[in-house]
Amino acid sequence: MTGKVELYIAGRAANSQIARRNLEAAAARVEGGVEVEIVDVLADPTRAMSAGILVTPTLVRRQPPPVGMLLGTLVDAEGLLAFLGQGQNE
Amino acid sequence: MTERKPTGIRGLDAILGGGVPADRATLILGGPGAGKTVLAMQMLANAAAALDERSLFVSFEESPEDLIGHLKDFGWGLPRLVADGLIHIVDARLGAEAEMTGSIELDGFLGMMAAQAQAMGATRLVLDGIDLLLAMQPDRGRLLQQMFQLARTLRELKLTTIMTIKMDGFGGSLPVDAAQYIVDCVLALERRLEGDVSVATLRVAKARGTPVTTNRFPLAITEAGLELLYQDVNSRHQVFSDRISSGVERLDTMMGGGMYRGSTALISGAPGTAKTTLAGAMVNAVCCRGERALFVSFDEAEDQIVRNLASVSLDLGRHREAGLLRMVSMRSASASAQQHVHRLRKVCEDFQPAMLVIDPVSALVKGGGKVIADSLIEMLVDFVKSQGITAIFTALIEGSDPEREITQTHVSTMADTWLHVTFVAHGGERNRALSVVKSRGSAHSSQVRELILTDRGPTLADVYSSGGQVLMGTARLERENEDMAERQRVRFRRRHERIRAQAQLDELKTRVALLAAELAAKQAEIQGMDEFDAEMQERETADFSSVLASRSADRR
Repeated sequence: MTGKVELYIAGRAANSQIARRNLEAAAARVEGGVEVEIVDVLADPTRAMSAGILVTPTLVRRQPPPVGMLLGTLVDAEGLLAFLGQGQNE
Repeated sequence: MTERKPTGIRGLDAILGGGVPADRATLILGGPGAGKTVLAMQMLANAAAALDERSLFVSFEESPEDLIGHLKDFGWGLPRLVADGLIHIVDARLGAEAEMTGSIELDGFLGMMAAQAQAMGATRLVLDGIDLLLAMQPDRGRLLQQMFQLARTLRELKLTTIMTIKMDGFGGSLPVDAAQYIVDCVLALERRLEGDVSVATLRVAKARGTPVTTNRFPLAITEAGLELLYQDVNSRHQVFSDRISSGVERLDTMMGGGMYRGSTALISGAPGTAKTTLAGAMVNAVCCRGERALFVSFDEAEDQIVRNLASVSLDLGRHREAGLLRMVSMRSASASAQQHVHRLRKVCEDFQPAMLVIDPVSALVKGGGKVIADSLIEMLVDFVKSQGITAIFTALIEGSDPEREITQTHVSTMADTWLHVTFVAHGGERNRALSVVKSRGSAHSSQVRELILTDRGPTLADVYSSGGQVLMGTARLERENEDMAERQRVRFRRRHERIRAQAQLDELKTRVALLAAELAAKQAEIQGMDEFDAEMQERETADFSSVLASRSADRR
């Protein structure tokens, strides 16, 4: 089953861009791939707020369950991989 | 001076020069339970009620439900304001499950808040517990940069903002430090125990662009929220030139004709020096003129006071039944000084008395330190003056140096009139000596009088100075008796002299009468003699003629 995540970013803000790069690098390493949706909270604040997002960057894991949240620039590559693959471990 | 937006919080707007800076951030610092959240929400509720302004409240610590739950009992009608969309609460708790890796930025947060604020037309913003958010950006340089961005955003959006940060003890944390950089105004809340009573204070720690006082002001937490116990010292009080009787005739004379209406008098003295009785006499005088009086007693039941004063013919019960006198007894330890003052102010506003007695004022300030006590009394005095209420404060002084003791409590400098009653021991007696220490705007007596409680009320008696000694009580009575005897002796002597003189006069009159009778008799006697002589003459002439005729004398 393919993983599914949402990354909430604030336009071109520096940390958001770092998080985005880190996420894309990690996603490429995940077996079976990860479906990544980038949500710009500045463009769609309502969606972010209804998702309970407050700060950027925030990564939300929709699949696999449970829903999880990771804040910040996602600098910990191994931690990020584990987060993306959580619940999927055989 | 930057434009101000009213907070609607009593006292706070006055010390802030009209309110918090408009379109800028104000920081509220304080420990847990100091009232930061209450203060912040109260400002929004006031703005909604009085100015129809909409606000966004971002809660980093509590859920909106908890927040409404614990603030709903204040009289703002918060649930209604939320339901009507005047206040929108954003749940900004960062879930415990959220992990953090690397650092964040505030751009997204600001963007979302800006969108929300614009969507609802908010003019005010509260960021309650923003330290939780700021702690997620541990890089000082980045954080500062983002704080400036926050300040810029607020100005652009014209959002008057309150940020609250929990602060324990001393020493600034990075969030506090960073927040201080961008705000024009910092309010520090403190709550601490003074004795057994919890005392809350507010201090303006920073106020850019406006001269403010940096004193600690007492805060009262009431059903209406927080209230700063502060009375603008520049407020104009009504100044009355009419004097009102103290109810003790000779005391009025001593004070140059009575107390000015709307003035404040302090009656100080040791226990048992009849301070309450004097205050009672003044209340009685006010009520007898048909005006209202409020008698606040601490730690003594109302009925007990009424009974005690009845024994010196001060019938306060009658005034109470007539509705002219309201008596309130409070327990000094039951609440903080600020709560007492708040309650007093309320009762005064409801009842509108012409006179307020606080017996003793020293009990009122028992639940607070000296600084608090001073500012509370100052506030209270200003308040009663602004209402045109004549205030009588009694103060218990037990030490050996009363002048210093009372001066330290600041009351004496606030009071317009200061009466001091002491016990003077002489000849095995303790008598009460009353002096007018000061009476502003009056040529008052510098003499000491003996205060006597008679069954016709308190009166003053002259004291005798004799050989450098002040005579009172029995000594005075003896002296008075001596005087009386002397006066009687004089009177008796003079009456005696008058009787003697009267007798002399009567005697003289009698003698005059006797002489007059004698005179008349003598006159009669003389007249008789004259008549006799004339008759004799006539008879002799006749006799001689007949002799001549008989003798046919030719000589005539």
